[in-house]
Amino acid sequence: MHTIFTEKQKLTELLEVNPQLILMLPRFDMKLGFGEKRVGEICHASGVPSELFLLLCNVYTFDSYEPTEEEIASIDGKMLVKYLIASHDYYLNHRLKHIGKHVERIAHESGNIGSILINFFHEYSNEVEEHFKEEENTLFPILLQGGSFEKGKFNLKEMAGGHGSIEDKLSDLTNIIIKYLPADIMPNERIGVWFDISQLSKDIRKHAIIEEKILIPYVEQKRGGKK
Amino acid sequence: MKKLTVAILESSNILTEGLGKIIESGLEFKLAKIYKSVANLQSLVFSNIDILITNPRLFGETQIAKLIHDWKEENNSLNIVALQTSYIPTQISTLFDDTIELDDDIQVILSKLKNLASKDLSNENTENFELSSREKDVLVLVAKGMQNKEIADQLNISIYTVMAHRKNITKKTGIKSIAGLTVYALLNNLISQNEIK
Repeated sequence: MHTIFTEKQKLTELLEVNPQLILMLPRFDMKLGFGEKRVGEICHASGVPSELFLLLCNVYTFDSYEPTEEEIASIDGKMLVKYLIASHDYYLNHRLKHIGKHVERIAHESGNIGSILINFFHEYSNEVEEHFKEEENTLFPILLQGGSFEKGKFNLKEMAGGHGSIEDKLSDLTNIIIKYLPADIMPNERIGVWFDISQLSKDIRKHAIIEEKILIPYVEQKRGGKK
Repeated sequence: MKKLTVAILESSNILTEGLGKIIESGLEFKLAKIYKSVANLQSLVFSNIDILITNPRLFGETQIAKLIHDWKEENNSLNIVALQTSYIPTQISTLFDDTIELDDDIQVILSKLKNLASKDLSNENTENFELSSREKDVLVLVAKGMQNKEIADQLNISIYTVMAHRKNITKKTGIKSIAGLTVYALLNNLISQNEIK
């Protein structure tokens, strides 16, 4: 037995349990300054279905949380897509850009090794971007139109599985920066970027879980139970 | 505490049975496998054996020197112990990490094996994370963009051995992706930038 979040709880209570949930707000265009309001009220005021918001918060927070078929059936596909695209945007245009600036500064002080590091980072960013684009171009339009999944040419499992390689490379980047770059190159900058990367990789792992536990079952339900 | 796995390479049933019983009587040890001849030993590298006990009498003098060299290269934390059933010249016995004699007491045998183990534990933090020269060979070829099959052909080893090496490389360095391994190889001067595809 574990607790789950409900719409009667205050948003601050959810954030106390899991501070990472603050990331949910910009993804749904929900504003700060919510005071002591309850989750249900805040969702209503922002035009966000509270069922979906809570489902995401629960899956994001409790590893053992398994959504029921009813919960999946109640999902507003357009809002789910909005959330996923906003997450992609946050990773690419905010976090990776920010980490990229750190990496560039470190690379600048690293002599010959610098270009190797930059190349590795660019290769990684490109892979992430391609993976997101693939999801956004093949799968999401069908979800948005509420159209038939039969015609969609995509391998759902493969697509969601693509996160594994993204996570591996991010962990490699951390290892290279912390363990293998020569000791005297910008230690403070490296420690800073280490926190940024570990925060991002936590968030991406949750993103993968959300796709696995919410997005895939949702698409499969729409396909009429076909696996 | 993790048990140490021991393998025996010996043709005599009397010896393998007896030695096997002695090893299993020691709580620190697990008898992993008994090999009757060196031909069966190909899987030694990837079965995570800590100690191999073998009888030098099974081999010619140059053969055993080469075998010990190869085994250590494949598995650099492996301890190789000689089972002495007849006279072994010094130049051979010094190749081994220790020697067990036929009339050694059970306690003596077990404590010899234990000493090897404690030697390993004290080295764990430094040596175990160093890549062996064979692992470095494999790493360089991975960084050059070669597939497992091509690496196996180039180094004249089986594809399974290549996979075992790659697993160990990742375990030791913490790096999983090919791009990451390439950066590691470059940082450690195992390869130069113009050698990469």
